[in-house]
Amino acid sequence: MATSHATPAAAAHAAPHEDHAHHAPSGFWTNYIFSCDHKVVGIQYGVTALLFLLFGFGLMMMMRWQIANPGQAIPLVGPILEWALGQPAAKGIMSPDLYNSFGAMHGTIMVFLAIVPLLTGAFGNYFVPLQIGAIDMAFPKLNMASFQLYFLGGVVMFTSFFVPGGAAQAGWTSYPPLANAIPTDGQTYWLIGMIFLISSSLLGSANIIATIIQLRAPGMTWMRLPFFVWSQFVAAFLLLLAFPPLEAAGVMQLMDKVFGTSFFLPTGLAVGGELANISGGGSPLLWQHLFWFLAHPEVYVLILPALGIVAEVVANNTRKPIWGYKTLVYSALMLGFISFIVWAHHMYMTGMSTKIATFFQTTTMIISIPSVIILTCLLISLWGGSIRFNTPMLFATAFLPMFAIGGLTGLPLGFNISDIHLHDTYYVIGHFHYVVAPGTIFAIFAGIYYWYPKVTGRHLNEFWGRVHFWGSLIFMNLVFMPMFAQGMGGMLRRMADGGINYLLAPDLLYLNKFIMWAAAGLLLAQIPFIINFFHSIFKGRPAANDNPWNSTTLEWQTPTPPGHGNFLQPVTVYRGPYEYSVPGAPQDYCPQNEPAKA
Amino acid sequence: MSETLTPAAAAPADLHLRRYVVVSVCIAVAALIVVGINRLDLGSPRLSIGLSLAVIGVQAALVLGFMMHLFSEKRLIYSVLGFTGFFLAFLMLLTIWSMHEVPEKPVHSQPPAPATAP
Amino acid sequence: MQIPYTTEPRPDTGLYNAKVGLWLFLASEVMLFGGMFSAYVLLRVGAPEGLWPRGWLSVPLGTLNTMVLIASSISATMAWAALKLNQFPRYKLYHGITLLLAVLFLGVKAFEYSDKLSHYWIETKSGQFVDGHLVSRTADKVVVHGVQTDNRAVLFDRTRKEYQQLPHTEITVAASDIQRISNYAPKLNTWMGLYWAITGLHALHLIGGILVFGYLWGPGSGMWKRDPARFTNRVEIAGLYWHFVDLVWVFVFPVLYLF
Repeated sequence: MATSHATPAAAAHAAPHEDHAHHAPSGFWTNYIFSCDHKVVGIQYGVTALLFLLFGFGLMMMMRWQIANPGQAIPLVGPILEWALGQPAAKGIMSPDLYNSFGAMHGTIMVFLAIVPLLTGAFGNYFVPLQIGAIDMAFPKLNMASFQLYFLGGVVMFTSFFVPGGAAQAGWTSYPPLANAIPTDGQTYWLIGMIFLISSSLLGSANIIATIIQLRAPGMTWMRLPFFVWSQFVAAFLLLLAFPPLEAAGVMQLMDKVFGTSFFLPTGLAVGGELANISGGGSPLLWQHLFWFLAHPEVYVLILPALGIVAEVVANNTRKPIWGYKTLVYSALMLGFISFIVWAHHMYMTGMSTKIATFFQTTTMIISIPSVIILTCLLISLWGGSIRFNTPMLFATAFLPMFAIGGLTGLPLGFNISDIHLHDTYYVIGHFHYVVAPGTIFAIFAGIYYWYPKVTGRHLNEFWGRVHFWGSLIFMNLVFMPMFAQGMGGMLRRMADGGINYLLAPDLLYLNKFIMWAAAGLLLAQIPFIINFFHSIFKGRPAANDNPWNSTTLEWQTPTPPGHGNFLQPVTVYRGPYEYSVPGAPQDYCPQNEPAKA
Repeated sequence: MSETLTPAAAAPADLHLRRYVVVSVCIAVAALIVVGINRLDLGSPRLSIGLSLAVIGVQAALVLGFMMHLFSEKRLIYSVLGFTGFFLAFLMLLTIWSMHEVPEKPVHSQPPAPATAP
Repeated sequence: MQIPYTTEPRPDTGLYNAKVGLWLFLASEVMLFGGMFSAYVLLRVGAPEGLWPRGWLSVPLGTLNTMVLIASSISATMAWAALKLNQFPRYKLYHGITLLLAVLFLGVKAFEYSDKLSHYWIETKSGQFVDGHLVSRTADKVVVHGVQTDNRAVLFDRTRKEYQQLPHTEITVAASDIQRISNYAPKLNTWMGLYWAITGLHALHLIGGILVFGYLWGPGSGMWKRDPARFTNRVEIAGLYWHFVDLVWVFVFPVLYLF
């Protein structure tokens, strides 16, 4: 049934489209820049986000140099930095302001311009319609608009580096009054960029939710959806309902900066020793509440689609169904719901009473339960499987213990008492990077290696994939594990001099150099991946057929790459998503749209 | 091609046109009532605000239920709005609670003794 | 292959796509305005007793705008109903009325905003508080027509007789005596900032609605001939959005104008 096509272009026009019989061939701009096709939009998101991922990584490498060698000129890159940015990078040395702006932008870019757009914009857009048997998203034009807004937001954020004063410097959290006091337009650019990005996310999530609700193929009931689709569904709800309060706060902070209001500025605020010329009456805590109301569900947006990808890869490469599908689904729903009521565990040090702290501590502990359940189901899924350790499976399997470390190290942060010691230390940085870096990013790599043959018709090189995997795994652990030690020793985060002025951390500073070298190793480990990614488009081993991994889910029952309209014939679904090794079946997998034998 | 309900086939009785006008008049009257409540000095601002919010709640229900025909809408929409309302309530209540509920007195009644220099 | 359920409802949900999409969008809008209102509540509850502006806005104008929006809600619904009854000219009439009423609302709002920008608040070094409309401003003095008091608290709740008993006269303040001067721009105080932010956001949504209605009334109305059911749905969706804009105003008006 599924046949390979010689070129992607031939495949694109092979799918029948009855009422488009007389559409004129569309030009470059319509096909590649202003396309409404979810697959093109997905690739646009993917390429842009991967570029931002690399850029954010670069920012961090420069920061790591400064931390390990405070006040010394950055080798190789230093002169370029000085040329590009001028005074803040004079003589190639990273000034404290520059350090702060790199730190703030590293976080912002990684979260809002790289990871979320990769997970929801790239993987979500490309594969959700395919996995539910639809021909496109529910609102294709809106999809295109979402990408354009995201792109614009990215341009604004990138441009902010080059304005006088530099990019935003108040952390990715942009806390007032600091965010207001910083005398750079870059902070304002950050707010404008965020408004674009938030709007893009809102439109995109409404699109995904409506698509999943309305465009499931006949027979695709809720409980037959691949877990990847469920994870995208819940993540989209989180974005839809949690982002707007931050947008409101962003508008208010923008007004504080541009119109001189005092939404977040308290009465009697002094900046640089002088009373600020403001009306006062505002509340810095208000910003924190509105920010974290988004930013906590945001971290579940960062992890849920990743869990979805891991589930797909694990099921496919163990040749057996995921263990506990219903449990996974209900846990994901519960996770999404509870994620809205835990946010102030980021604010334990703001002077709240023990009653409030206890409330948020309790909900935070409760939310760890569905996380653990999901991880356990995925782990148990490995048991008794006929495991194929290809590159996607390596990443997906390594994800499990890495995410476990990240999750477990979150527990002391969730407890009010231990958080007093750990808040704002490197422990926090270690914790969340474990969840996102060897966590989510590993899942993203798994997804890229897994789905690359569907998008391009070729495989990524397996040898270099393994090099990429082992290098990334080893160096990620070497980079982030020492941070727990540093944090527990009391070393605070966001210190531009790497902590040498911090009396309590003298015996932990050597780790800074260690981490810097590990980060360099991590960068080197990505080079084979980048080369592999581009090289394999042209010279990769061609996929044996449209379903080279012998997968059950619907995205593999299309031509490669899927053409306009995706499926050769309208889809009807007869089975669940993971019917691998069904006793009595002719093959070890039964695609979802294969009719049950009479 | 598909079973589209052509406009002409929609029975006029379905449209409840009179109902929309009546409901809108009720909404307008409710607005005037709220103005009136606040014009009178009821003694306590909390009382006027509370009473006004009750009337506003009715107004909102009328707009949502009849003008946006939520009362005859499908279950899916209810669940989406239900979750939204729940999360909004949490945002407002928890935020205000945490700003109000501050420790009554500091842990230390006096500042700690200065550390002796090493 | 066309995307299904653009006009006919999907059997198990009973809804067509755009309706699902719009309610999802409206849910996010509830959270957006909810975030704004939670900021209002928080800042007001945290403000010192008696120093929160009240009665600074024209209730008659606000009530007028309320009625204008309610009327436009009716006409928007009638427009959709006319399409359901296959009466295109009636649809044009009602939609046109909706547009005019929306523009009227904006006009009143624009008047209110411009009035704010000519209304000044002055604190003098001698401890006087002056509040009124600008008559003239030169390098050495500012002349306003309004009230003056040495008790700042009186100027906050303007529904009370302490304020209403203040005489309205022309007041001259020497520039050298001015401690702080500001018109009723967002920066005057937190309440003013909230007023501009909330009504400004609402007005932006209104303008968005005008653009959508304008498109459907004008260039977009050609779809009636090609695909009447789909066009009717579009008008219904636009109407739902418009009712939401009215719903937000149901909260904005009392909170800012009355409370």
